[in-house]
Amino acid sequence: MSLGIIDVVEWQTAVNMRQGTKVDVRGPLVEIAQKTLDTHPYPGDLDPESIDWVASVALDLYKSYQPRLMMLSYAQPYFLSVFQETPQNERKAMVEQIFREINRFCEETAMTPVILGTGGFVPVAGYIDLSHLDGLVLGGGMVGRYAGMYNPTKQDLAYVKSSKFIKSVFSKDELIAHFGGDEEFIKRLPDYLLTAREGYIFKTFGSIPRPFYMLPAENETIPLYSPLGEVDSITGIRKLIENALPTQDIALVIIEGAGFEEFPQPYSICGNNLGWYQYAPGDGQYLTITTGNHLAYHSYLPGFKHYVEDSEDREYPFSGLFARNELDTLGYSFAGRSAAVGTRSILTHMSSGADITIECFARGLYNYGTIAVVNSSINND
Amino acid sequence: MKCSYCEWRCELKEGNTGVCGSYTQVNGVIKERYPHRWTSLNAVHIESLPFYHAYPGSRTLLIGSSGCNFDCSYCSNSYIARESPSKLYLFDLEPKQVVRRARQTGCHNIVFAVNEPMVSLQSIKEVAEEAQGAGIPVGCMTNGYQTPESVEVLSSICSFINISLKSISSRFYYKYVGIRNIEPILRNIKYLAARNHIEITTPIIQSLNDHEIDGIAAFIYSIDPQIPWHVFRLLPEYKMKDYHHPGIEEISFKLEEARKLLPFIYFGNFVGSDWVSTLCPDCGTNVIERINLGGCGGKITKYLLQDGKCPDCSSKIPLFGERVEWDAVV
Repeated sequence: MSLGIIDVVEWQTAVNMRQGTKVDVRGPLVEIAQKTLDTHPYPGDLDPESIDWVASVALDLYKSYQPRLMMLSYAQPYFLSVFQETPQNERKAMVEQIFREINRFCEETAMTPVILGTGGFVPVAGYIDLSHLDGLVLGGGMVGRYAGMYNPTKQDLAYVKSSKFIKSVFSKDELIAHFGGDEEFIKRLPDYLLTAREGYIFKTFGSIPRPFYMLPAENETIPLYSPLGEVDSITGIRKLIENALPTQDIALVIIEGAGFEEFPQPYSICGNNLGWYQYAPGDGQYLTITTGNHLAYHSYLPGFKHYVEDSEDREYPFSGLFARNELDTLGYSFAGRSAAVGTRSILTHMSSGADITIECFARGLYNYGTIAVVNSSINND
Repeated sequence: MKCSYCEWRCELKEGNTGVCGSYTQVNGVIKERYPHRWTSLNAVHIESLPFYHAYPGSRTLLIGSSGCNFDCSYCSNSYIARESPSKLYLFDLEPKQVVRRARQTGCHNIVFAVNEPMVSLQSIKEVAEEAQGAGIPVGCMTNGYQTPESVEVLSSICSFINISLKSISSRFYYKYVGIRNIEPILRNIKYLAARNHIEITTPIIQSLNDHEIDGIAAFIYSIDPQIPWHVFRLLPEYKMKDYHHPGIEEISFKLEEARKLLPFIYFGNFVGSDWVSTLCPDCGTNVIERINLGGCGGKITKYLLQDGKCPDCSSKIPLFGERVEWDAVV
């Protein structure tokens, strides 16, 4: 079971993550969480000060808990590139600042960093609006590079197949053949998956109404800094770290929105795709990194009908779209102490599976505070 | 030619716009500049808007356009409300298509929100008429600054309405919203309360309007003590984004006093709030349990009313419309 310690600035409460109900809890990890949250209010998704927030929180967590495995995630280069006009030199400066922060963190903790940039951007070339179709189209994630289509008519299909802005259209059978996956994955597949041409974004039912400035590029490969060795694919990173953990303390660092242009040398080239499907920053990419498996075994394809599952008795209400929890991730399976800090809200605790995760509680870029997710069995030890 | 949609009553010359930027004069007629153009379309819990006493548990098609006739210094949606529509992506959807989307996504009702519906009144009226023809209830969130002619239209097309009462003083409205006189808003609240289901929402900004809690409560009480009042902890954005966040303990203390007048007070926009459930005014039983997951509303986790009555003491809880399960087939 996991516990959530919520801090909304000068006020805290604790919840059972599974039911969402309030709990009265004490224990060493809860105390660490309460103190750390109280000391470190989150500046906000679009505030560059959130970059410093990650290392500061991580250092406090390290000092008070002494984890051997940590995950740090930085989403600011992504948010500030997608939702604000941020020139390339500023994006690069942001990533350089993150590297300085990582150095500061590693010097104080003697952890070995494994640093991954989730890929670069391209300017928005245009929007794909399919709202006039008879069938329903749902975009996926904050940025809709992929979209799910449901119950299309023949005319709808003809339209999307002839659109010069849509790169490809895959049927459900083709998706099953490509991704495989378990029952949980397959039952959420759309009738068709649409992929946008690079630079184009689906504007659909449920899309964020904010203006977009940049979009993730088609990043088949992404930069990886790893003193532990190279891997061909993001699915290999978990094993790489697990193999080294018996002799080293390791910090896995994910920098969203850092591509080859922003990422400083040296780096190796790491695969970020499953065939034609390229991961964009989001749940699929995070969980593929930390589970070591492609998305069909832990997340859902972009454009699934998430709202259908949001009934009153839904479990894990603080974990967003995820019906599954406590996945077999790097942190969850590690027998030693683990901790995580991140500015990608829910994705941080979902993908880290750490004993204690501290993340921002932001939704749709609105800053509601912070949350610490604590493994209650370790808290009780 | 004067625009008669809201109390600004802007003078619109041919081709010009007024405060909201949404209407213009074309050949002697005031027209919407962006008819049937929408920024937002989503399926949400009705409680998230918030409506706590209308169609509890239902799935709502949230729809919004762009623009606003207010310029609130702390606006959370300024990227839609204060941005030029030319910089936003707008869906072009006729009323039939909106209703079709509501059906396709299993929504039980439609609510106009995100920005002020008055800036798109004719489009909203046409969607509402189409929805009503299909048996879909329609509601809206409004700042209440309509002319008597417009509020009559709004009242006729929306059966449930959440009105934002940001203060009880004209001074606050002048300084932070940009209008000189609160009276039209108070007038419209009374008008709508007599004809429609209403709920009232007040954003609290500590040291700016928290001292008005008693005054606002007294005003609502004078209309109808059973009106649900949503107080939300404002996290200012836009021109006031560096302003401090209200203290929860202090505001809760003040609301405890107000609850003696108004039994259905809610305090939200902070995760984990203890103030988002409905308590029976007679015996204190928690009759509709909700949690706050971020945002000014909540989500139902338990619905314990039996035929709209408290299961412990049988007191009737005022609700508009029937209880609807999230998965209920439309």
